[in-house]
Amino acid sequence: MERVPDKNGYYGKFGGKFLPETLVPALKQIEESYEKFINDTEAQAKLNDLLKRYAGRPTPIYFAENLSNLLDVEIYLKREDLVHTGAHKLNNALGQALLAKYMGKTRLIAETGAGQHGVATATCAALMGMECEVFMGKVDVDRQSPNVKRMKLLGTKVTPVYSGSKTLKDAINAAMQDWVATVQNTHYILGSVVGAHPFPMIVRDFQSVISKEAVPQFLEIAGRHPDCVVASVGGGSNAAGIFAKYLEVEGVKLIGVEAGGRSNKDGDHSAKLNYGRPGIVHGNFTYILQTDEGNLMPVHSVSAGLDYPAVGPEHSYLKDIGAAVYETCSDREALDAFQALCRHEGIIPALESSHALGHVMAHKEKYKGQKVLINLSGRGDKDMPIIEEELGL
Amino acid sequence: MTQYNGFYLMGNYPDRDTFIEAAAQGLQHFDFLEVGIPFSDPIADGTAIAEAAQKALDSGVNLAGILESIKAVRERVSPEKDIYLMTYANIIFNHEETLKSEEFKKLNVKGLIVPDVPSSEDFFFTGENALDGLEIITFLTPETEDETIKKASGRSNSFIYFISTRGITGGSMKLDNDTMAKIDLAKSSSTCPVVLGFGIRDSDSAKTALEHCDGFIMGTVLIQKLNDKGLDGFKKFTDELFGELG
Repeated sequence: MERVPDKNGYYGKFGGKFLPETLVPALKQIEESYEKFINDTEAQAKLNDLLKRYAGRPTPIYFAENLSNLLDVEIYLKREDLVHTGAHKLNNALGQALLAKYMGKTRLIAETGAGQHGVATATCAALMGMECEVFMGKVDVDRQSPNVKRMKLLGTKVTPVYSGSKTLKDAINAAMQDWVATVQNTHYILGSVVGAHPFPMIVRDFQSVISKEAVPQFLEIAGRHPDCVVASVGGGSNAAGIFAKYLEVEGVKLIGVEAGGRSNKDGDHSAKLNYGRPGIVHGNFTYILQTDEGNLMPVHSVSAGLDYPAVGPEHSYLKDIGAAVYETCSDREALDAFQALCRHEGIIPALESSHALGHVMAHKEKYKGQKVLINLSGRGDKDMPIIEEELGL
Repeated sequence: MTQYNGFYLMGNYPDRDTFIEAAAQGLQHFDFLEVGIPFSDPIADGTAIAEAAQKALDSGVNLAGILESIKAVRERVSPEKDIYLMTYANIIFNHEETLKSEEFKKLNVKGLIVPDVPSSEDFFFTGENALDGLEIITFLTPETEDETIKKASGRSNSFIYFISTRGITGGSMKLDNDTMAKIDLAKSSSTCPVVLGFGIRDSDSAKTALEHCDGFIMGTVLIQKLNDKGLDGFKKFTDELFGELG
């Protein structure tokens, strides 16, 4: 497989830098600084030290024996839920916050859907003494209220976004609108492998720590590579992180799981790689859910982190060249998986991660006897308001 | 160089008839019109234009309807007046066939203003997918490097859209010395007008723009006039503006 992205930020035909001209010099600065940053021994040592002593890496791979016996599928979980702040999002936020300091920026901004990336960014801002503002759709502010409170506790300004569908895509619009005006002192920490080049590459690289750890860990625990690696896909950062090194391992099937929502009707799901078509939004050319006219379609998922009508350009590329496959998991299947993991393994997973397990559970015959590595990208404490509503606790 | 001043209206907003009337009236003063095609996720626009886009989408406004209205505007204004379409990359991408059609050519639309297509990516629409002579207008900003200004200015034909400030539409205009030096460089490197946009909302800011550039573009304030005071307020505002500019 060719190394992607190319020097212009394209993954095959996907990707690019479709942002206002005002931001082009900033994107160039980030690209150049990032190149220096990853070759700077001192900066890398600092990042690795923080990942180890602050974030709690490496995270273990856990063999979920009870669930495996129940399903007749060998289920292994990469425990990103154990990372400080409760999700893989901190891997990227720490890297980008250090990069922002490296570039001399004093203010951080971020978008957030489920609130996990917002909390991760707020955490880094507190740690590094930087000003921070997080944009969050009003719908998400309401349904992920524990994370809103956490961000405020950490000293971050949370700005609710009232435009459009009031969810993740609108939070990205608001963050970009802010960044166009504040680019001189502000770094925008994008939380997923989306946006304009070099963001999809940078976020993937910072998240690839997941599979850098997982490949040798899995060999040690299971004696061979997994048959399948499964991860949920909203924007696609946790999947990009666990796919990165497995793309170099022959014979491992990579499976991304999109939010199948209530049904496959327009507006009932967030499955762009399954039901969308290519278009340009938020800085890149990728699969999106859009109307015939080219406007973004309303999307739905029980999980706020997957509720996004576009996807990182590398996933579009991996789909088209057949290097990964993308399946769906319905709200119901995700909630079943959520409950199963709680009851049988004593782990409360994030609703996002529950989609990866939900797909495997719903198709257990297909995976019978296989060794399946699932990226458990986050923990579910922040989902309590939704769980109360859906499961009537 | 003679002045080249433009104004922005959201297509068929607040309704079809008001749009056509405002377009025709405005073109009595202005040299060109930017017709906005609403997009659901307008990252370069401030509240006024973004809300107008959302209302237009909610009321079913689309490209086909707006092109019908442009036809009606063309019938009422001098052929020397220029019309551009202003929208986002995904709308252009979804309507390439329409934009290449014979019907569209009859409307004599001079170019496309696409704020999320910087000059590094315009090959996406000008290479194999060439839109048959439709120019993608070049944006320059206070952040653009001098080399890029020289290169971009050399290949522009209709006009160069210089953004006055770091920010989205509807902000206030700030011209610092660095920006003015970049405007001068753009003017000396190009044969087409350099027009200043973003933050121009009254005769004072328009005069300042004209001191440094070949023209100005006004948008947000006109949308607000139409919202608050209707067509009469719009007409009064533009009449007085050009009265004061002389």
